[in-house]
This record gives sequence, C-alpha cells and structure tokens, in this order.
Amino acid sequence: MRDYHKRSVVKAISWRVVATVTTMIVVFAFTRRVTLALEVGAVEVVAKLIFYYLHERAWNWIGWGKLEHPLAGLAVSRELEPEHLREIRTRLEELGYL
Amino acid sequence: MLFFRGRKKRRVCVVGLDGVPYGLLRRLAGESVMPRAAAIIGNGGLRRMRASLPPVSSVSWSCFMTGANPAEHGIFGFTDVLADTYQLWFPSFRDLAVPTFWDRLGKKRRRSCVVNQPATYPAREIPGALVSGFVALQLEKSVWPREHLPALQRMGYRIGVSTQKARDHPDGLLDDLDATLKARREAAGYFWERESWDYFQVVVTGTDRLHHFLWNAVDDAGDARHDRAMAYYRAVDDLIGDLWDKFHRGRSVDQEGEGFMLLSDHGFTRLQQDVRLNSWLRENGYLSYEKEDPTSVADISPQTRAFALDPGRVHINMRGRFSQGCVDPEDAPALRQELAERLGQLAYEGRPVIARVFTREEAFHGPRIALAADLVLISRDGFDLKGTTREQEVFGASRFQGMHTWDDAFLCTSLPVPDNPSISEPAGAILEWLSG
Repeated sequence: MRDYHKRSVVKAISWRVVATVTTMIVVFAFTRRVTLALEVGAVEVVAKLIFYYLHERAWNWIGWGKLEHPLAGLAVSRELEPEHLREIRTRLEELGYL
Repeated sequence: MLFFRGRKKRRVCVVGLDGVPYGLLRRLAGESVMPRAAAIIGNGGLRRMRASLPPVSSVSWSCFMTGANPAEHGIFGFTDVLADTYQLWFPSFRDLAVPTFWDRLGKKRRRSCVVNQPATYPAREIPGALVSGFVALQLEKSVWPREHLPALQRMGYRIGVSTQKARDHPDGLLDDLDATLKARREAAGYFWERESWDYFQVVVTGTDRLHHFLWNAVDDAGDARHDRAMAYYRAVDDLIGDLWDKFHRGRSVDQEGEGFMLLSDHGFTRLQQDVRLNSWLRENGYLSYEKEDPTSVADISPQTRAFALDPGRVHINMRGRFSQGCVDPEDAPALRQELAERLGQLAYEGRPVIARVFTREEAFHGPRIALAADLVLISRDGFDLKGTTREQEVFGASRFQGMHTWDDAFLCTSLPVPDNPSISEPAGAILEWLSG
C-alpha cells in the first residue's frame, strides 16, 4: 500500500510541529524560561530546514546503499512517430496479426 | 601450461529459427535436408519446448531474452489495448519492463552480439551490438552501436522480407527469402569478426514467413514449390553449419557442442480455418459495437462484457480496469468461468476448436498480471484464433497456409535446462554458463 502525496505532506508538517514543541518543552524544563523556549523553537525550525537540505545534498554524493534500476544507465530510444505506428499496423496486418 | 591447451573463455552461440516446430526439424534432419542440424541433434539435447502464452514471436522472444514471464516483462502480444480509449497500441522494445540477459551479462563485463532478434525495435544500447528484428522499420533505428550502420548498408542488409505481395507472388517471396537470408549470413559474419563478444545470436525469421505463406510447400512433397522450400532450408542449414564451424575453431574435441544452442520461438502447423473470437462474442451476446463497420475494439459499445485481442486473448470489460467497463468486479469471476466453459466447447463441423483455456493466473505471474487478458485460449491444430472485428462470421477461410502452435517449439542444447522447458528457461542456463 502506498501513501498519497498529500498524506506525506501532512505527516511532514505534523512531525515538524511535534519535534519543535518537544525541543521547546526540553528547553523550558531545563531553564524554566518560556521566552527562551519559544526563541529556541523558532530558530530550530529554520536551522534544521537548512541543515536537513545540506545533509540531503551531502548524501547524494555517497553511492553506498543505493538500489539502481538495472536499465537506469541505458539510453532511451526516441518515441515512435505516428507514421511508423501506421507502418507497424500494416506489417502486422500483412502477417495476419491484426 | 599443457593443462590450459584448448581451454578458452566460455562463450555461447545461439541460432534461432523463428516458427520452426520440433517435428519439422526432426523430419528435415532425418531426410538429409539439414545434415548439419542433424549432426548437432545427434549429439543429444533436442527436446520440445513450450512457447509463450500467447505463442507469438514478440512475446516468445521477449520471454527468451529476459528469462521472464509476460506479466514480468510486460509484453503480452504484438498489440495491446489502452484502458482509457480502447485504442490498439504496439508495445516496442522500449516497453520491455525488465532487463534482457544481455544487459545482465554486461554487468559481469560479458558482451553480447545479437542479430535480427524480434521485438527489439527500436534498437537501444546493449553491452555489445544489436540489430533489431521484426517489427523493425528503419535500418537507421535498428542498429546499435550506430558505427555498424554504414557497413550494413553497404552489404545491402535487409531487416526482413516484403510480405505485402507475398500471397499473390509466392515465387517473389521465395526470391526475397533467399536474398534476405544471404544478407543475414553476411551480417552475421561481419559481426562475428568485428565485435568482441561472449554471447552471439542470430535469428532466422524467414522460416516463419515461409510457413505463414507457403506451409504447404514445406509440408507437402507434392507441392509445386516443395523443392524451393527445401532449398531454403538447405541454406538455413548451411548458415547453422558455418556458425558451428566458426564457434568450434581452436577448441578441443571434448568441448564440442558446449555453449552452442538451436531453438525456435513457437511451432507451426497447417491452417484450415480462421476463428474470429469477437464474432463469436457478438453472436452470443457478450459484445456489441457502436458502428456498423467496426475497425477495431475501440468501436465496441459500453454494454460489451468481453472482447478479444489477437491471437486468443479474451478481456472482460470490467469496471475499474477499462474506462467504459460495465462488468462489476464481483461478477467478473463468474463471467470468466462461463466464457471459459462455453469457448472451451466451441466446435466447427463437430470438431472441437479449443485445446486449452488458461485463466490469467494459470498463464501469468508477475507484477503486471492485472494488465493481462482474463483468458488465453490455445486452439487445436488448424484453427487460427483471431481478434479481428471486421468479420461477421465466426469461421472463415484464411489467406495464409500456416499458423502458430504453442507446445512444439524446440530447444537443442547441452546446457542444463529442465525437462519440458518453456522459452523463458534457456536464459537462466546461458547466464549460469557464462558466469562460470
């Protein structure tokens, strides 16, 4: 079973909310300062977006663990043009395949 | 170093004879029409082989070159139907959904050279060289790598015979077959010398054309063109012998036959009647058209419950599967059972027409099984199943003399393959042999 894109988007947002609120609760637990907890939460959201992007790009350089489709490296031929499709139909008819 | 004398790197050479049945090969070998094939068969390893379901070249050769089932490689026939418009489309080499064993050999740094393999058009890169076979249209798009194109053009290479006038000019067809085989042999010789290869394959497709149009000349010694048909088979035998000799050059006697393979992709027999399945479905209330003169299944009405594609593929027009499907998914199994039973009892002048009825699950396995026909019918010899929509009568005369058969293709090899093999099975044996 596969998820629709909108389900993945909603899950990403809900996780971001849960993770940031967790950070703010931890900061508040250690410092008892609400303002600081909110500030750390705000900075964390932006900082983690940037570092997540950089982390993703860095992993792109690492080939280990990637599953490549066997045909991924092969050149793909051009689409058949309509007149060629008509010709194929004619050839198949000549041999009784249509 | 005495130990290594005569030991060379393992290689495989395959000669494909399109549409040559097991029984015909044995007969021609026994009658000395094909003495070189007779000698090869004499070494052992000849057996019947099951073709693909349905038994047509595009599906069978796709099974051979991938070692996969149609529901894995995605080629179910020369034609298929689009689920949204019911228009026919023509799967090509681009639609093959799994790698060929030539691709897999390439991962092991083994190179393949393949000449005239059907269902490989348009040609794409393979680790080695490829010349596409039927339904190839333009030589320019049939050759990989393209550096070989000028040489093929210079030698007058032909992709295949012209079938347009074959019925009206049978002698012209025989001339064309001879010229095409000669060019094919020249091309095979060229690639044999020019390419560095571990796997070499040539497919002779002229045998299939000869059988379609002039089966009587092959099968009947009293036919006016029998001698010419036998001369063609002698030329095919010469090609086999030539490749055998080249393949064994420099090899020790104890290696004789190792890696040399002969096979066909389906059998052939005499055609007596066309059987138009869509006409039967219409007569029996399963199918109707929106036009008086339908030209394809795109013209069926939304009330149609089942329709057929060449050569014996019956699709249920199921809701969710086709855009105008009218059969509820929960009703489809009962309808399929009903069609299987009624079609299985189809008869012509008291003679049964259908030999086997396969359900989708019996015929196929793989991730694309939902795209397969609900039923695949195999006819008895003489009855050629058709998916045409242009004919009113269920039974009728054909313009051809021969028709494909399913269970009497052949395979001749010393490589280990199971008893009663299907055409998907040699690929595994070839891969294993070349990986050793």
